[in-house]
Amino acid sequence: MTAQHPVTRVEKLRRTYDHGKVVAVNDISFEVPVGGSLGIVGESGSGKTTTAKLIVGLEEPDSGRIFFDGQEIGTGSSRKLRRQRARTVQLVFQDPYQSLDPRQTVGGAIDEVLRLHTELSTSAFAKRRAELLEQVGLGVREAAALPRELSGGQRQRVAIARALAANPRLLVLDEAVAALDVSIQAQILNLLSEIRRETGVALVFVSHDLEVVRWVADDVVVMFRGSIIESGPTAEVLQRPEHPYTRLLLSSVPRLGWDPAQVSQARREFLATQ
Amino acid sequence: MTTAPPSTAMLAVEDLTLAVRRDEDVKPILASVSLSCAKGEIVGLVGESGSGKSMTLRTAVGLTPAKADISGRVQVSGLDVLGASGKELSKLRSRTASMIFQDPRAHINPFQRIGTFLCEGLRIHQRMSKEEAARKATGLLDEVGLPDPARHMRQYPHELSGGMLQRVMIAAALASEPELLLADEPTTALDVTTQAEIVSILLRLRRDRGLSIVLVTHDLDLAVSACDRIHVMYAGSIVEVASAAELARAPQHPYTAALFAARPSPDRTELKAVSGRPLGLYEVEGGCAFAPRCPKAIDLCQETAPETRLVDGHQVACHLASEPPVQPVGPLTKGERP
Amino acid sequence: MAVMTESALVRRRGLGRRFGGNKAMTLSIGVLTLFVLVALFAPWLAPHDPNAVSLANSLQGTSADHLLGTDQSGRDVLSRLIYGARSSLLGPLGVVVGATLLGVTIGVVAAWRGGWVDTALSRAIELIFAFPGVLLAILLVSVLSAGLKATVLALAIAYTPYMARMTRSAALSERHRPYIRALEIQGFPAVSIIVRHLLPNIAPLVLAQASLCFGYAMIDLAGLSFLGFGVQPPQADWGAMISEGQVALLQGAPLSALAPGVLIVCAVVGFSLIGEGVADRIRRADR
Repeated sequence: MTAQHPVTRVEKLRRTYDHGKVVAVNDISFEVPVGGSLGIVGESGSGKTTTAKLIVGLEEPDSGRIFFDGQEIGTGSSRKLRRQRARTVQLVFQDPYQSLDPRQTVGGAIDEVLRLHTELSTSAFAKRRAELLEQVGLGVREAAALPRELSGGQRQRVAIARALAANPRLLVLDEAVAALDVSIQAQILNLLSEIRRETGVALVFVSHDLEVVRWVADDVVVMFRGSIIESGPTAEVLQRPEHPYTRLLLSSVPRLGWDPAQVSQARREFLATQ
Repeated sequence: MTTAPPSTAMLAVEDLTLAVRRDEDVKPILASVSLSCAKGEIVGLVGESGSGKSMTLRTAVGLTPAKADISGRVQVSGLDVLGASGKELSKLRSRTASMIFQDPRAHINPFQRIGTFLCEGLRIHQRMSKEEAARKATGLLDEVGLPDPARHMRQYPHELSGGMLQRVMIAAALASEPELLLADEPTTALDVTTQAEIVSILLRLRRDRGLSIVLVTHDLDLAVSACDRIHVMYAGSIVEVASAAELARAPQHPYTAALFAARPSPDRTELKAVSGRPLGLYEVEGGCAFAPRCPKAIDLCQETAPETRLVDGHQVACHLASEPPVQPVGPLTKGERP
Repeated sequence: MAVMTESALVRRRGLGRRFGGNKAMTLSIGVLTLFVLVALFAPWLAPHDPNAVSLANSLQGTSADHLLGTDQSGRDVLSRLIYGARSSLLGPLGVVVGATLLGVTIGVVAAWRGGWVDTALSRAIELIFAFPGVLLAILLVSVLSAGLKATVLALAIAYTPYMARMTRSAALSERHRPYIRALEIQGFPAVSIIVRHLLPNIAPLVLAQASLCFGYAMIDLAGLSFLGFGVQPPQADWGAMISEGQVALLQGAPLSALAPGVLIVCAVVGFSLIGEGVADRIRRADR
């Protein structure tokens, strides 16, 4: 019996700053099944972004282990290790404008990554490039453009295409739609669902937005002050939250007939117990 | 335009058209914007980037770009803002209307104690003594729900969280006992639980002080849950005005409907993305500004800009608005729930 | 002639707009272009041999034959100015190129590696900084023997801290921007990220600083030539000409010293204006 390994398994991951005085991530564990999608929800200071950085190797954990396809990839920042990691996991940043070289065309950015990670023949290279652009809904005109000539949504598409160019098994998205207009957010969310269905890439969606996570994630972990306080299938957790903090988060989402005074009362009561 | 603002209007913007001049270029920003906020009312101004919502708000207190062509009328508490002298404008800003912004940290001197920051305005504009100003400032911090006002007075901005600092900014805005509060995306940079806190403070201020509030936001759900009436803006124009409940029940303009349908929510089974991106007024080439993205657009929409009309209590600028309430339309992308 | 002036004006206006409509900068570019052309075509432009001594014609005033008169040794001042443009421009260019290569390397390495490498390099830079540039140059020249090459080398070292410090801070802020992070995550080698992405993005800043340095280097080199450390006689050089013209100044023939002085001022001001113009443009673009 060879049970399929999850794309990523994180075991007792811990990251502190300031010589252990600030605990950003406190012994967290979770896994993402092949082609699955996990939402990591929390507010600022919850450790969700640090978790994303730990997974892609931008930060090194104090302790704990990260497995990709059942294998542990060593920590460290050697070129070989970074490249090996890049072919497994890719990150899409919150601000697509900041994450693209302002002087490089869209096509140039994708070519560069393709050259680094693949050894395609000239014709296969061009085909793959066109395929990537099409996958994110960009045309030839956008391929020749510089980032500043594109809209926010188009830039995020470029960032996604570039991440996919390395053919990763896992895509980590750190607040990837938070900086976009509402009407554009939906485009990107739909695009991600489509890509996941077509390529089987697994997603880790880091967000403060419960509704967005509800939409894209099969499973969810809720983080508060560095720890996971609740986890499970998204529908279940959001329908029947067990932890008072999850309930607080849910009640904070504005809707018609919402009573913010009641929410802030609940918040004060919750924080008093911490 | 259609209806004159009520006489009790704290803020009345009528037919405001604004274009910014740069060298020889003229860049239109606002087209015939009308907006009103009555005494004690919370009005939402909702739009995406480039819609002109912030410019409308700034114009309300006379903060217009240096080189701009402006026409129309803007009245705040009876003062004609566009025709006002510099002295009248500074009185308007220091007495009648206050503003709060998205990023409180950018609007406060990081090397000044909270107390010094709050007292400065009180001492200059209201000629208070040092003790009087300190007493008043402490009271204001208490009013915006900060737990330990006396201690916060001695703290520096970096010692406070974003949510606490936004409350300090609200306290500063209240220092001049304004009648009108203009809030430009005041909760966008904050956590959801903190957002609830700020909104509840705004609601309480309206109740206790009879404050009129204009809330500018990109978040239609937030506007619906916090405001009495909502103006929806697109490409420099107001496309729909209705009470919050009405707007949520039956949005009349396809853009408003699209904004609702594009947000994930428990009671939606699919996300309906709008194709394209939000435009600025300067990018619109005649006809209805939303027509290129509108799933229901007909030939007429491409040719002439729609007049504002009254449908079921909504003011709506759409050629198709006299039809039965707009039903959410089919998806434009193949988005489904995974 | 009139037609030519007009077309030149039109072209300048075009250039000016590209550089943000800065008239002073356009004028500076025009003047410096003129200087470079003069230096390049010196043998064709100079009416006389710059080194032809004629003691009989010593310290003559302006005349049809000698438009700017002659110096103490009876050499034609105009011809010496024209030939002098070569060392006077080439010298600072050498200083700036040297200081830029060295400074950018140090600055980028310090910013990229951080930690103790950064600390060590920064301290070294501060050490050179603490030493007055001209004094350092005099010290080096006394070891290496006088001449243009030695002074240029010395000043290049003295100017390195300016370039290094600016590059370090620019590279540091660039290094922490998400796009560099994104490339690191992709697994690109550090050198390729630096060469292909980081350097092109800080290049305009480096360029602005370099052109400011050019002006200062020109003054320092002229000063060193004046003191007798730089260009050696009889070679023509603006700084050296001022030095040689001192006596003439006292004897009531000021042109041979004043003319090179005016040219140095023009060139220095020109380069400073260009440097500031470029820096200005970057600031505007950043906003």
